Amino acid sequence: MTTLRNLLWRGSVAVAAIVCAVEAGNPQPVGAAGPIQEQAESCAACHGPGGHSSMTEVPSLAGQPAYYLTLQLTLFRDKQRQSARMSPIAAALSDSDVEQLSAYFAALPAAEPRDGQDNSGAAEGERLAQANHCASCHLATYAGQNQMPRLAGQREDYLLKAMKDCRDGKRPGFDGTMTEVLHGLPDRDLAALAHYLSQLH
Amino acid sequence: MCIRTNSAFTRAMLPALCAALLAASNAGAQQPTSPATDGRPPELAASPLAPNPPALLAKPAAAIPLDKIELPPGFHIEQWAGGLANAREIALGSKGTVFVGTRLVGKVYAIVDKGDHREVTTIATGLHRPNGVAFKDGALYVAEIERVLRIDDIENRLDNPPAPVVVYSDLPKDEPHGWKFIAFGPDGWLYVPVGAPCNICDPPASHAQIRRIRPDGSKAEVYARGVRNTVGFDWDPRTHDLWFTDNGRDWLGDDIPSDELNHATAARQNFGYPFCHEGNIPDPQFGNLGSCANAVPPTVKLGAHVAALGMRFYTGGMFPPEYRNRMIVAEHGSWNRTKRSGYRLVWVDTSQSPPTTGIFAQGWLQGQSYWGRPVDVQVMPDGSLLVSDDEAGALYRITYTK
Repeated sequence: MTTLRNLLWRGSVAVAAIVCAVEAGNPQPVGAAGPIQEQAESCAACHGPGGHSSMTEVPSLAGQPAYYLTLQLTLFRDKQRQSARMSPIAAALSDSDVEQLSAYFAALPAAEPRDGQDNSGAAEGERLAQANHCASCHLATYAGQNQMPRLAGQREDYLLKAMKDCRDGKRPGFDGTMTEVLHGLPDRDLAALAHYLSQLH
Repeated sequence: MCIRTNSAFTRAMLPALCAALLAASNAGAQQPTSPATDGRPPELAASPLAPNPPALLAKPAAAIPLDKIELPPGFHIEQWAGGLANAREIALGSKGTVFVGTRLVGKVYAIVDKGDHREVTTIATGLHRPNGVAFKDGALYVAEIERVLRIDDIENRLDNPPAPVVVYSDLPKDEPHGWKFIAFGPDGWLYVPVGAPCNICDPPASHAQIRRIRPDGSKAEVYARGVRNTVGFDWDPRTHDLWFTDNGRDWLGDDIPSDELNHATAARQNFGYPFCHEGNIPDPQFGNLGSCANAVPPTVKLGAHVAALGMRFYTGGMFPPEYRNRMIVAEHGSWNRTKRSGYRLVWVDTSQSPPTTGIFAQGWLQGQSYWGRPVDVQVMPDGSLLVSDDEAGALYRITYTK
């Protein structure tokens, strides 16, 4: 637990550093640069400053459950989730790196939905989320828990890609739960779900 | 063909159900056939129950509190090997090598006992759910979801394993219940289950069965039907009959249906899935696809949601005489239950009728928190019992001294 507390403390230091950096008009997180923080900063090249992605089909990591991030990094490392970009990066990580990076991004504040987006069609997404019991695992706030990712405020294009990959068997997950839940849902339903979830705080 | 019924629940579900079944029949046998709601009744729509988090990293020995494990008097448990992330089925080589499959990290481990320590070698990586391992004639057989591999002369080549040979690949690719426990029967065939591709659905004929294949893959046949998801079986050393665990469906509440311990007295019997659970509970959605009268009931009801997985007959000489020919069953533990159940080993004695059962080892569950999850057991040549734990990433050894 000491390690976890230490990590959370380090995470909150990083958060403070980011907040300061953002207020100072500097988009790059700065702060006491330990090895994990240095590694995390290299993640920002794609996953964005503070873990808030602005890259197409690349997820935001900030505020994800630490356990979810640990599992995904391990899957990339063990060649169980395929990604030309992520697999070589994860291959170099030790168990300890994986756990520390996960704790780091979990402690960052989640991205807020971007303003000014077209919000039409969100009601259909909400209906589909209820009909398919998404909140049962991802929680009523869609903040996620354990192995189930945060959906609220995630990039819409990434949510759509992730759901299509699960439905089509390209991303099997752990026990096929998502493949099973999304089986038979047409692209338009997945698009409505992605739109609704991406708009949540 | 869709179901005719008067229940309000099924009437409400009917359009979705028919659409899903139609979509599935169009998509072919590779796709699961369940409706997206997966059999959850409206009263459980808001249930917070969710699948347990999987464990992909091995715990250090200091984080494995074996002093919490309770055993009958005279028995002792110790950690035998560690660093085995996601350890699942255990197989024994003829020269003493212990092989362990994994479900989620793509690896197969080989462990050699060096007396004061165990030497662990990862002999395969990057496989797809290599949960199942079995040993025959110097070769290790590994079951992925959609194929069975053979690694020849493996015990002489642990540091430089030959490329695996594909023995059999006529298997569905479905992820749900697609990972496999495998074992060679006394008939010399390799028994390979194909689980239901869903919690509850009308599965294609290729699923919800145990099939057996020739070791060279030249012939395969269905041995048992109506099997939802068996992840453990063994043959009675006295009768050579097959016994297997089967995991009951989810979302019918905390206490039904029970996981089953089944006894196959002949080939081609039907054990009831999806129409009949635990011998006498017709499925609320699929009950009219068959009759409980035409399903072989379980010999022992192990309890709802306990997740009975690996199972072996105790054939060793170390434990007290009453343990001989008892089955030891690993219960991985529940997720779809308000109060957790399982997370222990139980014994089953079928020498009398009705069979008797008892708890053999418990303590992986403390209150409502678990720190370990037993997956499989294997009797060692010296009569001790190995136990795999995919939560801790370890193998334990249970011994007995008078």
